[in-house]
Amino acid sequence: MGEGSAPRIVVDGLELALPGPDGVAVRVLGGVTLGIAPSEFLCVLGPSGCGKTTLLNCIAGFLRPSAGRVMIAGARVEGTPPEVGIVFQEHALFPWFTVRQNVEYGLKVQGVPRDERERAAADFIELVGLHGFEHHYPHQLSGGMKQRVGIARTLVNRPSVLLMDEPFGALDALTREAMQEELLRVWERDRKTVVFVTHSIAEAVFLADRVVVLSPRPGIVQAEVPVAARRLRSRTSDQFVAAYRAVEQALRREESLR
Amino acid sequence: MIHPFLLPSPAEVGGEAWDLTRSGVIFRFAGVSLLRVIGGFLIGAAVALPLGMVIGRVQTVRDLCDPILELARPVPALALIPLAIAWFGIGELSKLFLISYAAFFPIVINVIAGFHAVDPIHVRAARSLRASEVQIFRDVVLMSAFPYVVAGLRIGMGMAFLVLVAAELIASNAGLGYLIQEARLNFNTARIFVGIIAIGLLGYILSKTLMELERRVVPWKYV
Repeated sequence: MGEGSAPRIVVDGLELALPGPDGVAVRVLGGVTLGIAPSEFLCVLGPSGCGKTTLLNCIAGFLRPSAGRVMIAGARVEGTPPEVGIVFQEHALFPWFTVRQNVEYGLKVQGVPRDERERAAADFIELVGLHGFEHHYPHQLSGGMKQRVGIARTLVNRPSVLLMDEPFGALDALTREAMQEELLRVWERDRKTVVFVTHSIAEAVFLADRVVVLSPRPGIVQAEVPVAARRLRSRTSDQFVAAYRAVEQALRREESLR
Repeated sequence: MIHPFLLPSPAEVGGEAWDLTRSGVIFRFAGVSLLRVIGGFLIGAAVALPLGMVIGRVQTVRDLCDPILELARPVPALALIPLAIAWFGIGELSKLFLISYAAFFPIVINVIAGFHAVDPIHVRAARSLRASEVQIFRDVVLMSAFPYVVAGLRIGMGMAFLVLVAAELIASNAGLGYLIQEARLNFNTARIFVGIIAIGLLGYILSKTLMELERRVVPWKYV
Protein backbone atom coordinates (compact mmCIF):
# COMPACT_ATOMS: atom_id res chain seq x y z
CA MET A 1 0.00 0.00 0.00
CA GLY A 2 1.62 3.22 -1.14
CA GLU A 3 1.62 5.91 1.55
CA GLY A 4 0.84 8.69 -0.89
CA SER A 5 -1.98 7.13 -2.89
CA ALA A 6 -5.53 8.05 -1.88
CA PRO A 7 -7.45 5.05 -0.59
CA ARG A 8 -9.93 3.50 -2.98
CA ILE A 9 -12.22 2.46 -0.16
CA VAL A 10 -12.60 4.35 3.10
CA VAL A 11 -14.41 2.82 6.05
CA ASP A 12 -14.73 5.49 8.70
CA GLY A 13 -16.01 4.82 12.21
CA LEU A 14 -18.42 2.22 10.86
CA GLU A 15 -20.92 1.01 13.44
CA LEU A 16 -23.78 -1.33 12.85
CA ALA A 17 -26.49 -2.63 15.13
CA LEU A 18 -28.91 -5.29 13.97
CA PRO A 19 -32.15 -6.31 15.66
CA GLY A 20 -31.48 -9.46 17.71
CA PRO A 21 -33.81 -12.41 18.18
CA ASP A 22 -35.34 -10.92 21.35
CA GLY A 23 -35.82 -7.52 19.73
CA VAL A 24 -32.85 -5.98 21.51
CA ALA A 25 -30.39 -4.42 19.07
CA VAL A 26 -27.07 -6.25 18.84
CA ARG A 27 -23.98 -4.21 18.08
CA VAL A 28 -22.22 -6.15 15.35
CA LEU A 29 -19.64 -3.57 14.34
CA GLY A 30 -18.32 -1.21 16.97
CA GLY A 31 -16.53 1.46 14.96
CA VAL A 32 -14.39 0.04 12.17
CA THR A 33 -11.94 2.37 10.46
CA LEU A 34 -10.00 1.18 7.43
CA GLY A 35 -8.44 2.54 4.28
CA ILE A 36 -7.96 0.27 1.31
CA ALA A 37 -5.58 1.38 -1.42
CA PRO A 38 -6.21 0.95 -5.15
CA SER A 39 -5.00 -2.50 -6.26
CA GLU A 40 -4.58 -3.62 -2.70
CA PHE A 41 -5.50 -7.18 -1.79
CA LEU A 42 -6.90 -6.94 1.72
CA CYS A 43 -7.97 -9.90 3.80
CA VAL A 44 -10.33 -9.48 6.73
CA LEU A 45 -9.90 -12.15 9.36
CA GLY A 46 -11.64 -12.81 12.62
CA PRO A 47 -13.52 -15.35 14.70
CA SER A 48 -17.01 -16.42 13.65
CA GLY A 49 -19.62 -13.83 14.45
CA CYS A 50 -17.17 -10.93 14.61
CA GLY A 51 -18.95 -9.08 11.83
CA LYS A 52 -16.62 -9.79 8.90
CA THR A 53 -19.48 -10.52 6.55
CA THR A 54 -21.44 -7.61 7.97
CA LEU A 55 -18.52 -5.31 7.22
CA LEU A 56 -18.45 -6.60 3.66
CA ASN A 57 -22.21 -6.15 3.33
CA CYS A 58 -21.82 -2.52 4.41
CA ILE A 59 -19.11 -1.93 1.81
CA ALA A 60 -21.38 -3.62 -0.75
CA GLY A 61 -24.21 -1.27 0.17
CA PHE A 62 -26.51 -4.08 1.31
CA LEU A 63 -26.62 -2.75 4.87
CA ARG A 64 -26.92 0.84 5.99
CA PRO A 65 -24.47 1.77 8.75
CA SER A 66 -25.89 2.83 12.11
CA ALA A 67 -23.04 5.29 12.40
CA GLY A 68 -19.96 6.20 10.41
CA ARG A 69 -19.66 5.82 6.66
CA VAL A 70 -18.26 3.89 3.75
CA MET A 71 -16.82 5.71 0.74
CA ILE A 72 -15.71 4.16 -2.52
CA ALA A 73 -13.73 6.35 -4.91
CA GLY A 74 -14.78 9.37 -2.88
CA ALA A 75 -18.52 8.67 -3.09
CA ARG A 76 -20.62 7.57 -0.18
CA VAL A 77 -21.99 4.05 -0.65
CA GLU A 78 -25.77 3.92 -1.10
CA GLY A 79 -26.77 0.63 -2.66
CA THR A 80 -24.21 -1.41 -4.57
CA PRO A 81 -21.95 0.98 -6.50
CA PRO A 82 -21.50 0.06 -10.18
CA GLU A 83 -17.75 -0.49 -9.86
CA VAL A 84 -18.20 -3.10 -7.14
CA GLY A 85 -18.41 -6.82 -7.87
CA ILE A 86 -19.31 -9.36 -5.21
CA VAL A 87 -18.41 -13.02 -4.92
CA PHE A 88 -20.67 -14.70 -2.40
CA GLN A 89 -20.17 -17.35 0.21
CA GLU A 90 -21.60 -20.57 -1.26
CA HIS A 91 -21.33 -19.05 -4.76
CA ALA A 92 -25.04 -17.97 -4.96
CA LEU A 93 -25.30 -19.07 -8.59
CA PHE A 94 -28.76 -19.08 -10.13
CA PRO A 95 -29.60 -22.80 -10.29
CA TRP A 96 -32.10 -22.27 -13.12
CA PHE A 97 -29.47 -20.80 -15.44
CA THR A 98 -26.68 -22.66 -17.20
CA VAL A 99 -23.06 -21.69 -16.60
CA ARG A 100 -23.11 -19.36 -19.58
CA GLN A 101 -26.45 -17.80 -18.64
CA ASN A 102 -25.13 -17.19 -15.13
CA VAL A 103 -21.92 -15.59 -16.36
CA GLU A 104 -23.61 -13.33 -18.88
CA TYR A 105 -26.45 -12.29 -16.56
CA GLY A 106 -24.86 -9.04 -15.42
CA LEU A 107 -24.24 -7.99 -19.03
CA LYS A 108 -27.74 -9.04 -20.05
CA VAL A 109 -29.48 -6.87 -17.47
CA GLN A 110 -27.28 -4.00 -18.62
CA GLY A 111 -28.61 -4.45 -22.14
CA VAL A 112 -25.36 -5.61 -23.73
CA PRO A 113 -26.18 -7.15 -27.14
CA ARG A 114 -26.33 -10.92 -27.29
CA ASP A 115 -23.25 -11.71 -29.40
CA GLU A 116 -21.12 -9.28 -27.42
CA ARG A 117 -22.10 -10.74 -24.07
CA GLU A 118 -21.73 -14.30 -25.34
CA ARG A 119 -18.20 -13.48 -26.41
CA ALA A 120 -17.39 -11.88 -23.05
CA ALA A 121 -18.94 -14.80 -21.16
CA ALA A 122 -16.92 -17.27 -23.23
CA ASP A 123 -13.72 -15.35 -22.43
CA PHE A 124 -14.31 -15.42 -18.71
CA ILE A 125 -15.48 -19.01 -18.66
CA GLU A 126 -12.21 -19.81 -20.39
CA LEU A 127 -10.30 -17.68 -17.88
CA VAL A 128 -11.58 -19.72 -14.94
CA GLY A 129 -10.90 -22.95 -16.79
CA LEU A 130 -14.47 -24.07 -17.43
CA HIS A 131 -14.39 -24.22 -21.21
CA GLY A 132 -16.73 -27.03 -22.27
CA PHE A 133 -19.09 -26.59 -19.31
CA GLU A 134 -21.06 -23.63 -20.74
CA HIS A 135 -24.31 -25.57 -20.95
CA HIS A 136 -24.10 -27.33 -17.62
CA TYR A 137 -26.39 -26.38 -14.77
CA PRO A 138 -24.78 -25.47 -11.43
CA HIS A 139 -25.93 -28.68 -9.71
CA GLN A 140 -23.93 -30.66 -12.26
CA LEU A 141 -20.68 -29.00 -11.14
CA SER A 142 -18.37 -29.63 -8.20
CA GLY A 143 -18.04 -27.05 -5.42
CA GLY A 144 -14.82 -25.64 -6.82
CA MET A 145 -16.27 -25.34 -10.31
CA LYS A 146 -19.35 -23.55 -8.98
CA GLN A 147 -17.19 -21.02 -7.20
CA ARG A 148 -15.20 -20.48 -10.42
CA VAL A 149 -18.47 -19.72 -12.19
CA GLY A 150 -19.31 -17.31 -9.37
CA ILE A 151 -15.99 -15.55 -9.89
CA ALA A 152 -16.44 -15.42 -13.67
CA ARG A 153 -19.99 -14.08 -13.24
CA THR A 154 -18.60 -11.20 -11.19
CA LEU A 155 -15.45 -10.50 -13.21
CA VAL A 156 -17.25 -10.36 -16.55
CA ASN A 157 -18.75 -7.03 -15.46
CA ARG A 158 -15.21 -5.68 -15.02
CA PRO A 159 -15.62 -4.32 -11.51
CA SER A 160 -12.68 -2.30 -10.18
CA VAL A 161 -13.46 -3.36 -6.61
CA LEU A 162 -13.96 -7.01 -5.77
CA LEU A 163 -15.64 -8.04 -2.52
CA MET A 164 -15.30 -11.71 -1.64
CA ASP A 165 -17.12 -13.29 1.27
CA GLU A 166 -15.40 -16.52 2.30
CA PRO A 167 -15.67 -17.70 -1.29
CA PHE A 168 -13.67 -20.87 -0.70
CA GLY A 169 -15.06 -21.68 2.75
CA ALA A 170 -17.08 -24.66 1.56
CA LEU A 171 -14.28 -26.28 -0.44
CA ASP A 172 -11.97 -29.10 0.60
CA ALA A 173 -8.40 -28.16 1.50
CA LEU A 174 -6.75 -29.12 -1.79
CA THR A 175 -9.36 -27.50 -4.01
CA ARG A 176 -9.17 -24.48 -1.79
CA GLU A 177 -5.42 -24.02 -2.28
CA ALA A 178 -5.79 -24.50 -6.01
CA MET A 179 -8.54 -21.89 -6.09
CA GLN A 180 -6.40 -19.44 -4.12
CA GLU A 181 -3.60 -19.77 -6.66
CA GLU A 182 -6.04 -19.37 -9.49
CA LEU A 183 -7.58 -16.29 -7.92
CA LEU A 184 -4.13 -14.70 -7.66
CA ARG A 185 -3.40 -15.56 -11.28
CA VAL A 186 -6.61 -13.81 -12.35
CA TRP A 187 -5.98 -10.91 -9.98
CA GLU A 188 -2.44 -10.33 -11.30
CA ARG A 189 -3.90 -9.50 -14.72
CA ASP A 190 -5.52 -6.23 -13.76
CA ARG A 191 -4.99 -5.85 -10.02
CA LYS A 192 -8.43 -4.91 -8.82
CA THR A 193 -8.92 -3.69 -5.29
CA VAL A 194 -9.94 -6.77 -3.33
CA VAL A 195 -11.53 -7.15 0.08
CA PHE A 196 -11.50 -10.83 0.93
CA VAL A 197 -13.19 -12.14 4.08
CA THR A 198 -11.95 -15.42 5.51
CA HIS A 199 -11.51 -17.24 8.78
CA SER A 200 -8.42 -19.10 7.60
CA ILE A 201 -5.10 -17.56 8.66
CA ALA A 202 -3.22 -19.53 5.99
CA GLU A 203 -5.57 -18.32 3.28
CA ALA A 204 -5.24 -14.69 4.40
CA VAL A 205 -1.44 -14.84 4.57
CA PHE A 206 -1.20 -16.57 1.20
CA LEU A 207 -3.39 -14.02 -0.57
CA ALA A 208 -3.18 -10.65 1.10
CA ASP A 209 -1.02 -7.56 0.90
CA ARG A 210 -2.39 -6.79 4.33
CA VAL A 211 -4.38 -8.79 6.84
CA VAL A 212 -6.87 -6.98 9.05
CA VAL A 213 -7.85 -8.83 12.22
CA LEU A 214 -11.27 -7.99 13.65
CA SER A 215 -12.13 -8.41 17.31
CA PRO A 216 -15.10 -10.49 18.48
CA ARG A 217 -18.48 -8.76 18.51
CA PRO A 218 -18.81 -5.84 18.39
CA GLY A 219 -16.08 -5.99 15.76
CA ILE A 220 -13.37 -3.37 15.58
CA VAL A 221 -9.99 -3.50 13.86
CA GLN A 222 -7.78 -5.30 16.35
CA ALA A 223 -4.57 -5.55 14.38
CA GLU A 224 -3.18 -5.04 10.90
CA VAL A 225 -0.44 -7.30 9.60
CA PRO A 226 1.21 -6.38 6.30
CA VAL A 227 2.50 -9.35 4.29
CA ALA A 228 5.41 -8.33 2.12
CA ALA A 229 6.47 -11.70 0.68
CA ARG A 230 6.43 -11.92 -3.13
CA ARG A 231 3.71 -13.95 -4.84
CA LEU A 232 3.24 -16.81 -5.49
CA ARG A 233 4.15 -17.42 -1.90
CA SER A 234 5.53 -20.67 -0.68
CA ARG A 235 3.35 -21.87 2.13
CA THR A 236 6.41 -23.15 3.95
CA SER A 237 8.86 -20.23 3.55
CA ASP A 238 10.18 -18.45 6.64
CA GLN A 239 8.44 -15.24 5.57
CA PHE A 240 5.12 -17.03 5.27
CA VAL A 241 5.51 -18.71 8.62
CA ALA A 242 6.50 -15.42 10.27
CA ALA A 243 3.46 -13.64 8.86
CA TYR A 244 1.28 -16.57 9.90
CA ARG A 245 2.59 -16.33 13.47
CA ALA A 246 2.06 -12.57 13.57
CA VAL A 247 -1.59 -12.94 12.52
CA GLU A 248 -2.10 -15.84 14.87
CA GLN A 249 -0.72 -13.81 17.76
CA ALA A 250 -3.02 -10.93 16.93
CA LEU A 251 -5.97 -13.30 17.04
CA ARG A 252 -4.79 -14.85 20.33
CA ARG A 253 -4.21 -11.50 21.95
CA GLU A 254 -7.69 -10.45 21.10
CA GLU A 255 -9.07 -13.69 22.50
CA SER A 256 -7.22 -13.26 25.78
CA LEU A 257 -8.68 -9.78 26.11
CA ARG A 258 -12.16 -11.24 26.32
CA MET B 1 -64.32 -71.07 -4.86
CA ILE B 2 -65.24 -67.45 -5.36
CA HIS B 3 -68.47 -66.84 -7.14
CA PRO B 4 -67.86 -65.58 -10.71
CA PHE B 5 -70.26 -62.74 -9.96
CA LEU B 6 -67.81 -61.40 -7.38
CA LEU B 7 -64.63 -62.10 -9.32
CA PRO B 8 -65.19 -62.61 -13.03
CA SER B 9 -62.57 -64.52 -15.03
CA PRO B 10 -59.96 -62.57 -17.00
CA ALA B 11 -61.61 -63.88 -20.17
CA GLU B 12 -64.93 -62.36 -19.16
CA VAL B 13 -63.32 -59.05 -18.32
CA GLY B 14 -61.41 -59.17 -21.61
CA GLY B 15 -64.60 -59.86 -23.54
CA GLU B 16 -66.35 -56.96 -21.84
CA ALA B 17 -63.38 -54.68 -22.54
CA TRP B 18 -63.48 -55.70 -26.19
CA ASP B 19 -67.20 -54.94 -26.42
CA LEU B 20 -66.76 -51.53 -24.85
CA THR B 21 -63.81 -50.77 -27.08
CA ARG B 22 -65.53 -51.87 -30.27
CA SER B 23 -68.62 -49.80 -29.53
CA GLY B 24 -66.38 -46.85 -28.63
CA VAL B 25 -68.20 -46.37 -25.32
CA ILE B 26 -65.02 -46.66 -23.26
CA PHE B 27 -63.29 -43.90 -25.27
CA ARG B 28 -66.30 -41.63 -25.16
CA PHE B 29 -66.60 -42.07 -21.40
CA ALA B 30 -62.87 -41.66 -20.86
CA GLY B 31 -63.06 -38.47 -22.93
CA VAL B 32 -65.94 -37.13 -20.84
CA SER B 33 -64.06 -37.90 -17.64
CA LEU B 34 -60.86 -36.33 -18.95
CA LEU B 35 -62.69 -33.15 -19.90
CA ARG B 36 -64.18 -32.94 -16.42
CA VAL B 37 -60.79 -33.40 -14.77
CA ILE B 38 -59.15 -30.83 -16.99
CA GLY B 39 -62.03 -28.37 -16.62
CA GLY B 40 -62.04 -28.63 -12.83
CA PHE B 41 -58.26 -28.54 -12.74
CA LEU B 42 -58.12 -25.37 -14.83
CA ILE B 43 -60.66 -23.61 -12.62
CA GLY B 44 -58.77 -24.64 -9.48
CA ALA B 45 -55.46 -23.56 -10.96
CA ALA B 46 -56.84 -20.24 -12.18
CA VAL B 47 -57.82 -19.36 -8.62
CA ALA B 48 -54.82 -20.93 -6.89
CA LEU B 49 -52.02 -19.39 -8.99
CA PRO B 50 -52.65 -15.66 -8.44
CA LEU B 51 -53.84 -16.23 -4.88
CA GLY B 52 -50.77 -18.32 -3.99
CA MET B 53 -48.49 -15.72 -5.52
CA VAL B 54 -49.96 -12.89 -3.46
CA ILE B 55 -50.01 -14.97 -0.26
CA GLY B 56 -46.42 -16.08 -0.87
CA ARG B 57 -45.10 -12.57 -1.48
CA VAL B 58 -47.08 -10.43 0.96
CA GLN B 59 -46.62 -11.13 4.64
CA THR B 60 -49.87 -9.51 5.81
CA VAL B 61 -51.93 -11.44 3.30
CA ARG B 62 -50.16 -14.61 4.41
CA ASP B 63 -50.97 -13.94 8.07
CA LEU B 64 -54.59 -13.36 7.09
CA CYS B 65 -55.06 -16.34 4.79
CA ASP B 66 -52.95 -19.00 6.51
CA PRO B 67 -55.49 -19.91 9.24
CA ILE B 68 -58.32 -20.10 6.71
CA LEU B 69 -56.29 -22.34 4.41
CA GLU B 70 -55.11 -24.54 7.27
CA LEU B 71 -58.70 -25.01 8.43
CA ALA B 72 -60.09 -25.74 4.99
CA ARG B 73 -57.27 -27.99 3.78
CA PRO B 74 -58.05 -31.12 5.82
CA VAL B 75 -61.68 -31.10 4.64
CA PRO B 76 -61.81 -33.75 1.93
CA ALA B 77 -63.58 -32.81 -1.26
CA LEU B 78 -65.93 -35.76 -0.74
CA ALA B 79 -67.29 -34.13 2.43
CA LEU B 80 -68.48 -31.31 0.22
CA ILE B 81 -70.63 -33.50 -2.04
CA PRO B 82 -73.88 -32.65 -0.22
CA LEU B 83 -73.00 -28.97 -0.30
CA ALA B 84 -72.08 -29.18 -3.96
CA ILE B 85 -75.44 -30.73 -4.76
CA ALA B 86 -77.30 -28.12 -2.69
CA TRP B 87 -75.46 -25.27 -4.38
CA PHE B 88 -75.01 -26.46 -7.93
CA GLY B 89 -77.54 -29.28 -8.35
CA ILE B 90 -76.60 -32.62 -9.79
CA GLY B 91 -75.38 -31.33 -13.14
CA GLU B 92 -71.93 -30.61 -14.53
CA LEU B 93 -71.39 -27.62 -12.26
CA SER B 94 -71.30 -29.58 -9.00
CA LYS B 95 -68.72 -31.97 -10.48
CA LEU B 96 -66.52 -29.11 -11.64
CA PHE B 97 -66.86 -27.54 -8.20
CA LEU B 98 -65.69 -30.68 -6.40
CA ILE B 99 -62.81 -31.34 -8.80
CA SER B 100 -61.60 -27.74 -8.76
CA TYR B 101 -61.82 -27.67 -4.98
CA ALA B 102 -59.63 -30.78 -4.78
CA ALA B 103 -57.12 -29.40 -7.31
CA PHE B 104 -56.99 -26.00 -5.63
CA PHE B 105 -55.24 -26.92 -2.38
CA PRO B 106 -52.09 -28.67 -3.53
CA ILE B 107 -51.60 -25.95 -6.13
CA VAL B 108 -52.09 -23.01 -3.78
CA ILE B 109 -49.92 -24.55 -1.06
CA ASN B 110 -47.05 -25.20 -3.47
CA VAL B 111 -47.32 -21.80 -5.11
CA ILE B 112 -47.19 -20.14 -1.68
CA ALA B 113 -44.14 -22.22 -0.76
CA GLY B 114 -42.50 -21.39 -4.08
CA PHE B 115 -42.92 -17.65 -3.85
CA HIS B 116 -42.05 -17.66 -0.19
CA ALA B 117 -38.90 -19.76 -0.62
CA VAL B 118 -37.02 -17.30 -2.80
CA ASP B 119 -33.45 -17.33 -1.47
CA PRO B 120 -32.43 -13.80 -0.43
CA ILE B 121 -28.86 -14.54 -1.54
CA HIS B 122 -30.10 -14.90 -5.13
CA VAL B 123 -31.91 -11.58 -4.88
CA ARG B 124 -28.74 -10.02 -3.52
CA ALA B 125 -26.64 -11.59 -6.24
CA ALA B 126 -28.97 -10.26 -8.93
CA ARG B 127 -29.04 -6.83 -7.30
CA SER B 128 -25.24 -6.77 -7.10
CA LEU B 129 -25.19 -7.55 -10.84
CA ARG B 130 -27.36 -4.44 -11.18
CA ALA B 131 -30.62 -6.09 -12.15
CA SER B 132 -33.69 -3.85 -11.81
CA GLU B 133 -36.58 -4.80 -9.53
CA VAL B 134 -38.59 -5.96 -12.55
CA GLN B 135 -35.66 -8.07 -13.76
CA ILE B 136 -35.21 -9.51 -10.26
CA PHE B 137 -38.89 -10.49 -10.18
CA ARG B 138 -38.72 -12.11 -13.60
CA ASP B 139 -35.32 -13.78 -13.37
CA VAL B 140 -35.13 -14.65 -9.68
CA VAL B 141 -38.54 -14.69 -7.98
CA LEU B 142 -40.48 -16.31 -10.81
CA MET B 143 -37.68 -18.72 -11.62
CA SER B 144 -37.31 -19.79 -7.96
CA ALA B 145 -41.02 -20.38 -7.63
CA PHE B 146 -41.40 -22.12 -10.97
CA PRO B 147 -40.46 -25.71 -9.95
CA TYR B 148 -42.83 -25.51 -6.97
CA VAL B 149 -45.62 -24.22 -9.20
CA VAL B 150 -45.10 -27.02 -11.69
CA ALA B 151 -45.02 -29.66 -8.93
CA GLY B 152 -48.17 -28.14 -7.43
CA LEU B 153 -49.94 -28.35 -10.77
CA ARG B 154 -48.96 -31.99 -11.16
CA ILE B 155 -50.17 -32.91 -7.67
CA GLY B 156 -53.32 -30.82 -8.18
CA MET B 157 -54.07 -32.75 -11.34
CA GLY B 158 -53.66 -35.99 -9.38
CA MET B 159 -56.10 -34.80 -6.72
CA ALA B 160 -58.57 -33.70 -9.36
CA PHE B 161 -58.43 -37.16 -10.85
CA LEU B 162 -58.96 -38.81 -7.47
CA VAL B 163 -62.16 -36.86 -6.89
CA LEU B 164 -63.44 -37.37 -10.42
CA VAL B 165 -64.93 -40.82 -9.93
CA ALA B 166 -66.65 -39.86 -6.69
CA ALA B 167 -68.05 -36.77 -8.39
CA GLU B 168 -69.34 -38.87 -11.24
CA LEU B 169 -71.06 -41.22 -8.82
CA ILE B 170 -73.39 -38.40 -7.74
CA ALA B 171 -75.46 -38.48 -10.87
CA SER B 172 -74.33 -38.50 -14.43
CA ASN B 173 -74.98 -40.17 -17.73
CA ALA B 174 -71.43 -40.45 -19.00
CA GLY B 175 -67.90 -40.87 -17.71
CA LEU B 176 -65.87 -43.70 -16.22
CA GLY B 177 -67.42 -43.22 -12.76
CA TYR B 178 -70.84 -43.50 -14.33
CA LEU B 179 -69.74 -46.65 -16.17
CA ILE B 180 -68.88 -48.34 -12.88
CA GLN B 181 -72.00 -47.16 -11.12
CA GLU B 182 -74.24 -48.25 -13.95
CA ALA B 183 -72.51 -51.64 -14.20
CA ARG B 184 -73.10 -52.20 -10.50
CA LEU B 185 -76.81 -51.50 -10.89
CA ASN B 186 -76.91 -54.05 -13.74
CA PHE B 187 -74.92 -56.68 -11.80
CA ASN B 188 -72.23 -56.56 -14.49
CA THR B 189 -69.09 -57.13 -12.41
CA ALA B 190 -66.88 -57.64 -15.44
CA ARG B 191 -67.76 -54.15 -16.60
CA ILE B 192 -66.90 -52.77 -13.18
CA PHE B 193 -63.44 -54.24 -13.56
CA VAL B 194 -63.06 -52.79 -17.04
CA GLY B 195 -64.03 -49.40 -15.63
CA ILE B 196 -61.52 -49.69 -12.80
CA ILE B 197 -58.73 -50.69 -15.16
CA ALA B 198 -59.62 -47.86 -17.52
CA ILE B 199 -59.48 -45.37 -14.66
CA GLY B 200 -56.11 -46.75 -13.63
CA LEU B 201 -54.76 -46.48 -17.16
CA LEU B 202 -56.07 -42.96 -17.67
CA GLY B 203 -54.58 -41.84 -14.35
CA TYR B 204 -51.28 -43.46 -15.21
CA ILE B 205 -51.07 -41.80 -18.62
CA LEU B 206 -52.03 -38.45 -17.12
CA SER B 207 -49.42 -38.55 -14.38
CA LYS B 208 -46.68 -39.85 -16.70
CA THR B 209 -47.41 -37.08 -19.18
CA LEU B 210 -47.26 -34.44 -16.48
CA MET B 211 -44.03 -35.79 -15.05
CA GLU B 212 -42.45 -35.79 -18.49
CA LEU B 213 -43.68 -32.23 -19.00
CA GLU B 214 -42.17 -31.27 -15.65
CA ARG B 215 -38.78 -32.67 -16.63
CA ARG B 216 -38.81 -30.58 -19.75
CA VAL B 217 -39.90 -27.27 -18.33
CA VAL B 218 -37.69 -27.50 -15.22
CA PRO B 219 -34.49 -28.86 -16.79
CA TRP B 220 -32.23 -27.52 -14.02
CA LYS B 221 -33.78 -29.89 -11.50
CA TYR B 222 -33.54 -33.03 -13.56
CA VAL B 223 -30.62 -32.82 -15.98
